Order: sequence, then C-alpha cells, then structure tokens
Amino acid sequence: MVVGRCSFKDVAKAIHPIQEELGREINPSVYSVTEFKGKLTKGHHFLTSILKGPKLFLIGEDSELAELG
Amino acid sequence: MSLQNWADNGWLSHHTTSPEEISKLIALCDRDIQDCQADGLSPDWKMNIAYNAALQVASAALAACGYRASRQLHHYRTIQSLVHTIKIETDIVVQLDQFRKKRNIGGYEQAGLISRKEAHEMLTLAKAIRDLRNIHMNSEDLFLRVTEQGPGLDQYILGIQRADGRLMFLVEAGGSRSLIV
Repeated sequence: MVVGRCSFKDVAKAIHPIQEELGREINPSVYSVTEFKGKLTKGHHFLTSILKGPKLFLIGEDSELAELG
Repeated sequence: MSLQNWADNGWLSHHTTSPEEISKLIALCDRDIQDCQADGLSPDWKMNIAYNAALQVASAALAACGYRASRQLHHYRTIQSLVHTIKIETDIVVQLDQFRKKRNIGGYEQAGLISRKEAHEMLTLAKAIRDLRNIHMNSEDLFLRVTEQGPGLDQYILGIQRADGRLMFLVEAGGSRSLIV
C-alpha cells in the first residue's frame, strides 16, 4: 500500500527487481492522499480491512497513517 | 532472445495476419480507450477496459510480426513481446505487466482494489502504447523508441531516435499534442 504523490509506474519499477529476488509477486496499491482519505471516510472495505490488520511500515509510521484517517 | 526463439520454445505460434485484422484490433483499442472514459464507471472497470486497449495494440503488433501468443500465459507473452515488436522500453512493459496482475486479482479475487490514480495511469499508458505503435508503423527509419510518462498523470512523452541520430519527441499533455524535433 503506497499513499502519496508517486505514480504506479514508479512503484512498479521499484518493486520489479525485488520480486525476482524474493521469488514471489508483490501487488502494490497506489493511492493519492485525497482518494485514500475520501475512501476511508466512506468506509471502503479494502482500506478499512488493511488499517485494522497488522502493518509493516517501509516509509512513515502509524501516527502519520492515523492522521489520514 | 528473438521472437523466433520464443516460437521455438512454444511461447508463440506463427500467424498470418491481414490488414483487416490489424485494423480491427486497433479499432478495438480506440473503442476501449473511448469507453473507459465514460462517466460513472468504477476505477476497476476503467482500468480493465484501458488494459484491454493496450492488449489489443500488443496483439496487433505481434500479429504484424507474424506471430500470436500461445494460450498458456497468453496475456503475459503478448505484453512481453512489446519489447521486440515496437521496441518499447522495459520499464513500460514492467508497468503494463503489473497492471495485468492487478486485473487478475480484481477479476478473480476481490473487487474495489483499483484506485482512481491507478485507473488513470492505465488509460494514459494505453494511449501512449497505441500512439507509439502508430508512429512505429508509419516510419521506416526509427531506430530507438522510448516512452516516458510526464510529471502529470495525463502526460506522456514518446522519444524517437531516427537512424541518422536525430531525436524527436511527441508530447501529449491534457489532450493536446506537440511534436518537438
């Protein structure tokens, strides 16, 4: 899950070599901050499930995520 | 590895195409690019339709080279063949293949996974691939073709290097196009 200004293309390019290294697929979801906030407000099932479950932050932390929702 | 190598591996089969078949595939692409911009569509459907548009172009380019992808891993092979058929850069193929995986998840496992940003990027990508293919087909002396998406999600730049070393850039931004020589 990537929330911010980067593009899906940028994320796809970044994770491509990692998928080969790990030997498994990585399927990113890329959201703008505006869309992420809007969907959370409406109770979007997928995003709500993600927030309720365990998370591993690569960039950012829980407090920043909490500010979005 | 060449397309013939792929055929030797059973990944492609030889195919005799026709101008009518190519025209039909490109017309399907144009239709899908139009349709995915209709009001009221979910991002899932927009991305699906735009992805289909890109796949039609890839199929047309492969057919023009005298091949079609085998049934096994059909979409994957068709997408990967773009590197050989219209010399598209690897990063673009990586992006399109990542959309292929998202489409599979959305279609078979869970809906509502596609963001508006992702759907919009897929549309821009489909348009860039279509235009790159059209340029490729209309120019005999193209040597290197590069695509790059601009800073905005609705911008892309096609860079073309001619055999004499000259560079041209086709820039699409917000619905208007410019050719820079």
